Amino acid sequence: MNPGELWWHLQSRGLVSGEQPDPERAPPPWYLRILLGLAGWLGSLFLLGFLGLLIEDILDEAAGALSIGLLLCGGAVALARRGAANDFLAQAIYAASLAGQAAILIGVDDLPGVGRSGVALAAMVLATALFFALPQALHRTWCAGMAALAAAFLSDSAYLAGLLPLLLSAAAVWLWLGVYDRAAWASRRADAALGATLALLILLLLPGLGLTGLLPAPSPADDDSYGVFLILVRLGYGLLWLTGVAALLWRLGLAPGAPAVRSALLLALPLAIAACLAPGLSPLLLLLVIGYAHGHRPLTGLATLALLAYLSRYYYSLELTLLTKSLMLMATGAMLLLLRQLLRHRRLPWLEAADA
Amino acid sequence: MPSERDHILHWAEAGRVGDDRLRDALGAAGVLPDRAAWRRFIDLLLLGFGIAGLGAGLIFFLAYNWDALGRFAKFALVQAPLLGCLALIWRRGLDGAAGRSALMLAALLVGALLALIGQTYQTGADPYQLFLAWALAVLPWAMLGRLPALWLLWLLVTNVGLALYLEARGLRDLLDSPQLPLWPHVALNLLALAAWEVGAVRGLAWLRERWAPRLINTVAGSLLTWLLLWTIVDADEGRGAALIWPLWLLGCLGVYLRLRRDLFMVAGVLLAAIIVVCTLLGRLLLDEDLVAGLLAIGLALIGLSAAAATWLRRLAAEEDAA
Repeated sequence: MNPGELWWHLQSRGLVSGEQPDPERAPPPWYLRILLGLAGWLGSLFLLGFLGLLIEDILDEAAGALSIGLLLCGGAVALARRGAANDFLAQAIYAASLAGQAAILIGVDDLPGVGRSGVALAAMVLATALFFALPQALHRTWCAGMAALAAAFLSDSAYLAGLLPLLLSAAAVWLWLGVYDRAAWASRRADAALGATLALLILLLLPGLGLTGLLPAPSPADDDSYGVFLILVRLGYGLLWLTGVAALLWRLGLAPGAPAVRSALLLALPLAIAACLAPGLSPLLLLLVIGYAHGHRPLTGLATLALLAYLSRYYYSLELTLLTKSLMLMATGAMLLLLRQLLRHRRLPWLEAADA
Repeated sequence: MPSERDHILHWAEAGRVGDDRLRDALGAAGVLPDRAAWRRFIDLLLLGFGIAGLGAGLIFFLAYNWDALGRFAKFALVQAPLLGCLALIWRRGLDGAAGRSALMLAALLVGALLALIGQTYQTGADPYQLFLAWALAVLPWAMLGRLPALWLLWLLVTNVGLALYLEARGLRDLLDSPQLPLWPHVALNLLALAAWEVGAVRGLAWLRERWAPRLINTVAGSLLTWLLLWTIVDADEGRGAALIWPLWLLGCLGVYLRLRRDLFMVAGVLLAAIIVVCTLLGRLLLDEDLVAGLLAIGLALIGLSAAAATWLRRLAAEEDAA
């Protein structure tokens, strides 16, 4: 269906009302967002470099950098709120805001007595404020991702480093689950969810960059309770998977005691155990299932690729021995195949039409 | 082009959808899966993750090289599931999800078996021989299976084998250029892409899946663009990319605009072109006037990407109207 046919189709069912918005102003498709996002980000770096050299003396001072940054961000917000009339203006707003954010953070870093935590906190506050102030999908995704990633630099504490990916996973899942709850907030919530998801994937798949990955190994300086803490975090990933599945079933309108719910939770159980040993499975599988439930194919594809990448990384992770990991994977695989056969054999209502 | 979901979310943000009617609107537009689709998805998920878990677990286990397990037990551990897969394929055929998944697992297990042979008997073979033998062994299955995922696995294994061959033969040092070893990969992947698209145009239904040729072209295009950037930055390095890259660009635009409309491919080509133009600008301007050069590149990135977005939106609108 083209946008006109779709509008008519929904209007005839009383699901949309008023004038059809201009289809040209619809958010770009995902691959165009990648093109615009990458080019805008690179453009902002060059613009910042240009400003840095042009007004070097001003940017070297904290007050100067803060002023330039606020000016750029303020200008971007003002222009965006007037409505970006074309793609060039929209892209310039995006790049100007990114350059402004970088200048502000450079300024904050130059302030006396502000360390890594202070810059991270400033980045979180700035990104959150701009998320709400600047109405542009690509920019909102950037801000959500930046706020989420900045949280990783808030503290050097190993406890926070261990807990943060779990909290971020829960936040991404919660944001995605509720995307369709309120129409007026759906786009904003989807942008926030995508930003949180991208930040999570960076934490999960690209450790380094000052990030510690999913479960930082205990250092000799850590106390004994850190080992217990890591076990609790692992259990948290298993619990997140089960809670996410239950929440999804509830949102699909299934009553808690329905046979389909019992079957689904039974199917989810082996993966909950696997998620305790391979924590990345929990958020990535949830994103895959939520992507399917929401008809969001790019999210399903992203989660599938991320799962493959996670499995490759998991091979090299030193949290468990290869033997433990292999036994866990084989047991989970065998259990899932067994459950599939059992369900097909018993012809439970929700699987009886499955492909033979 | 924006999907139905994108349009409906845009209308919701503009206040055209009742606050609690969004799910109904998405359901009426066919965006959300129905019960039958859920059944298929769950069945496929259990099958896919079951097979992936077993296959990955087995490979992890062999890599652990457990001393307590004798060589016959290890071989049995790989060969028994391999035979099981082949028995399942024989019984179920390759038309259903079970048979196809079994074929994928069997193809992975062949690699594990070859690795185990090398590990156990210390044959002295180079790693590239393992990968090329693996690619050769599963080639008939890939031809019979008609599975895009299996062909991609075959292409991946062949690429790895090729990379290891070039390294083992010392061609990188012999040719005294870090660029040249990338060319065989460009050629292999472009050849695979061309074969895929020709097969699809000739009506082979299983080649109509778009994700696989998109992935292949992304890899081939990235390598080729990387080679050209190298040439731009270091003019003394090979100049082949300056000849081949424009041909790839024009070829992709011609094919994916006229013969087989695919805006993902066009967007990828445009992104590569923007990066090349800006690198060229950097090469020409940054040495002359750093400040003006940075501004020019920044504005070019913004301007070119905006122009690309406007053009792609127009193409999408034409497609919608057709």
